Amino acid sequence: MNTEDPFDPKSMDLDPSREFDEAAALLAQSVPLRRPPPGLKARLMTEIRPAALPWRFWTVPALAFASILIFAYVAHRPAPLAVVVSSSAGVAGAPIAAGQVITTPADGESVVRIGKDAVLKLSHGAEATIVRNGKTLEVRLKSGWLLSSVRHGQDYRVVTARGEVAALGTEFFVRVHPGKDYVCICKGRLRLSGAFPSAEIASEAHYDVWMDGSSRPAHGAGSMEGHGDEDWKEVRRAW
Amino acid sequence: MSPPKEPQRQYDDGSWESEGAELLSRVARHKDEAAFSRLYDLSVPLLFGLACRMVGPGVDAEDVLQEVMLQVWNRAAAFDPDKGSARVWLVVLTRSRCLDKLRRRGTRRSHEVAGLDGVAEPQDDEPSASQTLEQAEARAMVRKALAALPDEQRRTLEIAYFEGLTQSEIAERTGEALGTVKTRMRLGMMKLMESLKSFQQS
Repeated sequence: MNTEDPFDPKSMDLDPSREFDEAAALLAQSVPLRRPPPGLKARLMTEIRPAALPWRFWTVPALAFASILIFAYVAHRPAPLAVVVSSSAGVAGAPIAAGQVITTPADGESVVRIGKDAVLKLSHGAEATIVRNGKTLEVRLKSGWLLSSVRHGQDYRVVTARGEVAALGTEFFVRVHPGKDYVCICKGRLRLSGAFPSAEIASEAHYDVWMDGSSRPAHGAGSMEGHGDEDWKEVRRAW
Repeated sequence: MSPPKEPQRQYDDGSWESEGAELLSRVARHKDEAAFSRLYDLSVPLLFGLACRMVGPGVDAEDVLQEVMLQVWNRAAAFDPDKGSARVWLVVLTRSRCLDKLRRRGTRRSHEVAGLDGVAEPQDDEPSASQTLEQAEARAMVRKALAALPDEQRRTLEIAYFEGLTQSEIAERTGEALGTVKTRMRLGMMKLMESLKSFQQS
């Protein structure tokens, strides 16, 4: 079939021109005006618009991304190092972050569990922070009394201004006191260190040690100063 | 420095000739749906009327219109106002799509042959009351221009324009010599151009 346009001006020996096109369009304008079906425009307007993507296109990746963010947050959220088991201040269940300062009033006390590694009882205006250095749990006791029950095999130490008491799987009591710190080895073995030659002391029953921070710690028969069996019962319940 | 070029006067059908170029520009530059919608409303009665005249009223004419308007949406940037008016550009697009449709059918039979026997008053879908005075005047001018042509010239031009028959095919159908057909078309178009010029001057 011949596909040439019969209305080519050259086929009429005329020059292509704007005037020719305008004149030819007069023929088109001689036909009756017609209105197409009303739905045609609606279809056309729909067709020119970018197709709406199915809801899954956006929501599924968005939900997946949100899930990843939530998972990442949960996975990397700093887990509380310890938790308050009981407290005279009524804050039982409160998490304790590493480095967070824990205080008790002069007439109050708190029992704190550090995971499955240790249980502490703080009292008498205790002010302490708990940190974990590698595998070692460290309680920095600035003031007050501290009773510690440590899982066997857990590196644990209590640091005061006058020295450091490292538990070698034991239960012991530390009382920061003006002039000297009192340590009671309730059961097990401790290593004492500070500005004095380190010493390891073991005892199967309560045994007293006093550290003044400069001279060799003094020790002697247990007096169970500041703590008793009831305290130990409370600590052991917290395990 | 050359004097500023006087803008070329264009035949304006009084309703959307000047607005059409602006609308096409907005579609080309910004994919402006509102402009496209407005252009559709303004131009479609003419374009759909042409499509119905060439391929017959019905689905084919609707297909043509849809193809043309999609082409406008996608290729509005191809419109060059320096080469012609928006109206002419749209008419050329529509006529081309209609010729494609006729060729696919394998026939170029006219669908409103009866209308070729004279310059009849157009029976628009839209009553004349809804047309602007300018539109009515423009259509009267078109009828007047076509009526000024001898019947043979007008009929030959209409067969070529609306049915897409070549000059040889027209000669075969009408039984005229090929040279006669060619001359009629040439003279007819020259007269139409003269009529157009006189309208522009008036």
